[in-house]
Amino acid sequence: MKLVISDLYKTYTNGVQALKGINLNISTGMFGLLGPNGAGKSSLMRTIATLQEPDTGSIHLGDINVLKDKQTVRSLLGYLPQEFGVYPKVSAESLLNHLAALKGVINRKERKELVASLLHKTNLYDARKKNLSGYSGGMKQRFGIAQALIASPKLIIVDEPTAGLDPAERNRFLNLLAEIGENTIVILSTHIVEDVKELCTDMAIINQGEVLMTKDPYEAIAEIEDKIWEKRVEKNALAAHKARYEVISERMLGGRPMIRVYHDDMPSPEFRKTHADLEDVYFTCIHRKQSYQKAS
Amino acid sequence: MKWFQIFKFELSYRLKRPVTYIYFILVFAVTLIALSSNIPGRLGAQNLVKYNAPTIIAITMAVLSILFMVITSAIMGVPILRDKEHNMSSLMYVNPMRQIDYLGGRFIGSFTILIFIYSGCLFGAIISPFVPWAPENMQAFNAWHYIHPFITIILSNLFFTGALFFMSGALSKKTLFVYTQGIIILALYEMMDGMANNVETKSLVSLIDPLLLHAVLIKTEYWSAAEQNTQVVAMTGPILINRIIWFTVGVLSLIATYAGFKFNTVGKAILKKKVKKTSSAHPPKTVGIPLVHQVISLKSYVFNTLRQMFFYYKMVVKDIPFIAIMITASSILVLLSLDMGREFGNAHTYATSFTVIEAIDGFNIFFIIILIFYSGELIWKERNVKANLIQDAVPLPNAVNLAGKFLAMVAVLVTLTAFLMLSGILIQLAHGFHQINVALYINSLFIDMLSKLVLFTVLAFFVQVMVNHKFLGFALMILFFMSTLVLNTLGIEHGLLHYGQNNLGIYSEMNGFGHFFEAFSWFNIYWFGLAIVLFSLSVLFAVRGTEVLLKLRIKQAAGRASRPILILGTAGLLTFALSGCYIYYNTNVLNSYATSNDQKQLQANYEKDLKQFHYAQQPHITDVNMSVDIYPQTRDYDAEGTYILTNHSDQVISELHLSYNRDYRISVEEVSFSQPATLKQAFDQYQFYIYALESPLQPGDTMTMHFRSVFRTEGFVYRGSSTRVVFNGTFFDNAHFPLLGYDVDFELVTDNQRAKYDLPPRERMLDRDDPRSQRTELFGGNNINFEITVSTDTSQIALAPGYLQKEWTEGDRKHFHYAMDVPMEHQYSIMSADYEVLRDKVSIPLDSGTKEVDLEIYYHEGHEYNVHRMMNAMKKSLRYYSEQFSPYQYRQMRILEFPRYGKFAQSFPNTVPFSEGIGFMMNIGEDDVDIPFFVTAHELGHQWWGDQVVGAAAKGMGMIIESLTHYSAAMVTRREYDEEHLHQIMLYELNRYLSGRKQEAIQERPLALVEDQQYIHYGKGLINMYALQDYVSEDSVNMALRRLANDWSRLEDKHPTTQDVIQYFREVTPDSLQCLVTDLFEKIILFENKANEVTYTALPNGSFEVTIDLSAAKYESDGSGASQEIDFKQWIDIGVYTEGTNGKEQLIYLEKHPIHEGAHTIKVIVPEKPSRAGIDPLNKLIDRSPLDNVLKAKELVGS
Repeated sequence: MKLVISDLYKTYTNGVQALKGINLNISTGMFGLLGPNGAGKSSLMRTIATLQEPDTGSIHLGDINVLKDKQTVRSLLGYLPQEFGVYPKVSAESLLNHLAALKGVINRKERKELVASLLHKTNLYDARKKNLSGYSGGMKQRFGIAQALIASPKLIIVDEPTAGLDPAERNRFLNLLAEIGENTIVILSTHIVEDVKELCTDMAIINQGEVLMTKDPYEAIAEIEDKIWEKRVEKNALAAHKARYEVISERMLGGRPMIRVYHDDMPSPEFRKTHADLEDVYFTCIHRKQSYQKAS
Repeated sequence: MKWFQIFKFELSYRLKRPVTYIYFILVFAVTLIALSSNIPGRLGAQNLVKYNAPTIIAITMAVLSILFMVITSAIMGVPILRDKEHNMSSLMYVNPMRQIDYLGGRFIGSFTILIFIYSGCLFGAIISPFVPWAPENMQAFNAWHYIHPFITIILSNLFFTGALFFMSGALSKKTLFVYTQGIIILALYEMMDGMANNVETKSLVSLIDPLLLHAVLIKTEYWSAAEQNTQVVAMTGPILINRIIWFTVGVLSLIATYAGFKFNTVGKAILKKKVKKTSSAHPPKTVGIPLVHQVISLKSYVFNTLRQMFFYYKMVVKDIPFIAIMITASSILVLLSLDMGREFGNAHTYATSFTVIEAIDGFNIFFIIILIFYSGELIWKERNVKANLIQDAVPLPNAVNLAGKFLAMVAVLVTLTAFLMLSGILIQLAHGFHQINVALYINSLFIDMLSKLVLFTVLAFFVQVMVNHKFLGFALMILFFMSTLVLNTLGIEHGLLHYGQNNLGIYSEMNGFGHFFEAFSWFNIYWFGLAIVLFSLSVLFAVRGTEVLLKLRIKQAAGRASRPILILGTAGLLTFALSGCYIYYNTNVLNSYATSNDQKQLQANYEKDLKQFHYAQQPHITDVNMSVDIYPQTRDYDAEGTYILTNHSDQVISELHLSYNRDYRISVEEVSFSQPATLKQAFDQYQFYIYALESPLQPGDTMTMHFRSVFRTEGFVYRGSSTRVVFNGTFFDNAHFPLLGYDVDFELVTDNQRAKYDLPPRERMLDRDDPRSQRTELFGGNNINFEITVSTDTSQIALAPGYLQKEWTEGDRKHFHYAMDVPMEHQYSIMSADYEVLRDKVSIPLDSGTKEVDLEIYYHEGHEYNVHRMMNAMKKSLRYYSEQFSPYQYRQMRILEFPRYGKFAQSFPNTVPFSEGIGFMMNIGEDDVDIPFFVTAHELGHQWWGDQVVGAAAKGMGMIIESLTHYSAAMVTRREYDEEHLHQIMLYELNRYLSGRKQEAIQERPLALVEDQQYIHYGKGLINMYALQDYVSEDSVNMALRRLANDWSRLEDKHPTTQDVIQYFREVTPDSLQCLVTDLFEKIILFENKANEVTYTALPNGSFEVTIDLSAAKYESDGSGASQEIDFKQWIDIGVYTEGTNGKEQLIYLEKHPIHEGAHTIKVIVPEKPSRAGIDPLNKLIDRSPLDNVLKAKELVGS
């Protein structure tokens, strides 16, 4: 089954253009949707999850018209929103049980087993009787994924699941995602490049409502291999470098900026060739788009 | 000035929040609507009291400040809590800031906002007289009348409630405490309600009533209309002390807040559970996720609807505000049940199921609050906790989500109703009444009340979905409930236009819910049809996901319009439309529908067109021979009658003015005369017809008139359905049949209404010396020979005045032939019901020999509680009246029960219809007034006053008919019991007079000139007649009445006026008391007698000396209620009570002392230890404050 998104446009009433002609082809496996905050990721995710109406465009999941036949999509969907709350004074177990029922698992025994296994899987079994309002951020996100996995969905959408998690929790969470079956489309939206790098077989970079690139992360890195150069510069020389080279990123190292530059061959001898990684792909992409906009 | 920073912060925060303005608008709108609707009328603005009278504004504002207490709690309870909830507390508290600045700034800021919100009340009130729909009964605008109560009542209430809420919020840091406190204040207020009705605790209420409503009501209780229209409720006396007390409470709670508040414990509530830390150190287990069956079908939808229902149901019933409301409701229920079914002073009816249901009926206000609040909460539940996106993505149709929530709300309402029913049953059992009518509970609560609540719930859901703003939704629902009042004021009254307004009507044990079920069911079908439409629309437009704009939701709705929803919606629409048509056909085509304005217009036109015939000379009806066939099951009757008309005047009569009953159900199908007559003029709209006689009727001549009329019940009506001819308990009178002449009782009464229809102020009753008063036929002014045959179903007994001549059964009809062998007044009742009969006899020794009178009571099976009291009253009354006044004119007396659609008893010749609602169902304890006895004695008194002696139709007629009858009944009752027993009736009637004169429509009259003013001819009539006999003796008064009866009994065309009656009184009154007769009957006199201090000392001989400090004042009032103090000297009772042996107080001293205006100290010696003493203890005089006459006696020690 394939998820095909064509020409999706959405403008909010306050004038913000959230989606500007999104086209995507998503096959089974883990798909990363990478982009900075406010890029339109959540808008796109909500639209796929039947919770928002696009102005124009279409989405198909296999033969299913997502925008028309919402009920069918929902029966195949597991959705973890970017931000979610829970009823006060309800335990993880009983809420999971409740959601399982709502998703159509109406056999009591089956539901019980399912809930137990999901709780084990997400390592929440010991805390299952605890009120969700007392959960830590990581536990709450794991609960989120547990509910998204109810009834073996064919399409799983997880929106910024790792934001705000500490490294250990993040690892635990990513491991959990990695276990999800191969026959499923999993769309993972994130602004953290590492998430995509570690998990995704395919990805898209999205910014300001537009898809900047769709590629296998591995291929994308291969494309810019040998073209990323780095140099430690003085603070006052930074502006000059930025004007002269295509500086895709900078970070501080020992109190001085270390810049990375995209260049087909060595820009100048002070530069040192370095291994390209997905972050460079991401920054190059974003940077190019921005320079293009400035130019035009 | 740190506090000023905090103050400014608080202010700007609040001013940025829309809810502040929503509250303001809500307060403004509710006040505006309340004061421009007919609510002031219910709060006491009647007749002479204007809708914008300062007392009415004060009372309304007091009510509103109670109603809006929830806003006060929302504003004042949260400022400190908010810092905690928004996790702002640490930020706020680390700043170097003094506690007093922080608390002071917060409090003053919030309080300023609170005053801003409540200023809506002031502005709404001020604008209310100027809106287009404002009632006409208004006086000139006076801003002070609004500003004064706003400051004295609203602001003073705001300060102490605000301070209390601020304290509980700041110290507990839990919303629960704020809620609970609000409930305690409400419960306290309800307690005041109970106490204010109790004579003993009334004065305490003025001192401690926290929200001032009852204190104001008590203070203005006996104010005349003139006083109410001009005087603001000044903050003096007990009310001033009250305000000082509660102001102090406010200040103390602020001090307590300051003292108890600690920065370093901020964020920690008084009761906080420790959160247990759980470790998540285990490595994730590798477990497989089992494959499950996902069912998406009708089955899963039904399953989940029910599941959601339980889920949300539990959520609501475990919610703290819900529990809080329920606890309040229950405590009020308990208080209410203590004083339920009170009638006529202190007597109570039995705790029958319907008495209890009617007492607890007011409870649906709590249920309405719950349904408005929780409908909003449930619609917004997921969005409030941000769980909406997960929930919205599950594969369930909107209908399931909404239906789950809706059914949860219905389940909550069912629970509440069951709770109410159970409470009702417990109340019945607690009162020792064991006949529980479960079916009645189900009909009244589960069918009548619950169906309305469910309809309102659907509306609340619909409103919440469509406006998609929780507080706006609440506000709109409150507006909806108020709109009913506005619509009525605008003349939009039809039940088809008032959503959910549908009542099952009055329950009668005789007639059950009778014929009301049919109309009720149709209106229910109609509104439930609309409810289904509203629900379907809610499903289509419900917010799902993140699209909230109505435009987009309309777009989505097209996609959601699935077949089942379309079918449901269409079915609802069809049901609504078709049943609406059927209802309209019934109410407006088969029956005639008139708004109250239409009705008033008809009355006005009647007077304009026909007033010219008012005093036109008409013959008298002197013989009546009727035949009436009653069909209880179809609620019809056929009637046929023959009148003999006699010209008793000395003029020639050439025209007959026939006045038929204007009820459209009655039609006169045929009329004929013994001599040629032609229809000269027909006023069909008034059922008034003028026939010209070919040969005029000469003085003394007679003619006969024959007519046939029918009463037909077709379909059903919206309201005002006739309760005259019913399944069981038919009762109608001769007004159903043609009468002669203009009907003055159909005229509009109040000057305001009359002015609206361009009518001059109402013509007063005729002066006593006006000869026209002697010849009108009003009130059966002449005698008739009477004969009637009535038939009914075989299961019922049909009754009419006269003696039963013959009784026979023909097929399924039973016939009764009654005839009266002496002339009787022209008043007869016709009744039919399934009766039990109690029979007895009384022998009355007369000069002419012993007279045997047959006594009968026809009553509904199961209503035998008081029939023996009534029987006893019949015996004692007939004997006393026959001995004291004149012999009883008939040889039989009957009491007939009729359903409680009317709560009265009425006297007809040898016949007294007596309502199920009074007397029959009373639980008369040992110390209670024997109401059945007294009412029976009263109605039997009318066989003399009203039948034997008929007063002229002039001013004072009410005194001759009602005051003399009330006096007679009081004398019989005093003989059966004692004077103290009578005191309760005296107090009841005194209260009726004092509160009645407050609501006088035109002008208060002295008793001798009373014009159909019940508060005067019953209330003042009893007090003053009793005073007369107290001063001149019972024997003397009875001698006067004996002479009256002897001289005026059964005269044609010669009737006494009060001039004649008072002359008889003066004849038996010594010269020294002649001015008392003037005071009692010809002036409006009020006393203000008061015991100031009562002390006693024990004397060596074992007796006690009582010292009574008292003050006395006498006022003469004019017709508008303006009064002037006058000097006086009069002998007035001084009384001393002692604790009786059986715990009942006994009057051990009662003597008249000479009293004049001003202060007195009176010493009397009594043989036993006094408990209370004072002036006029039995309230024989009209006293403006009757309850302060007697005080507790204190022992004077030492000296």
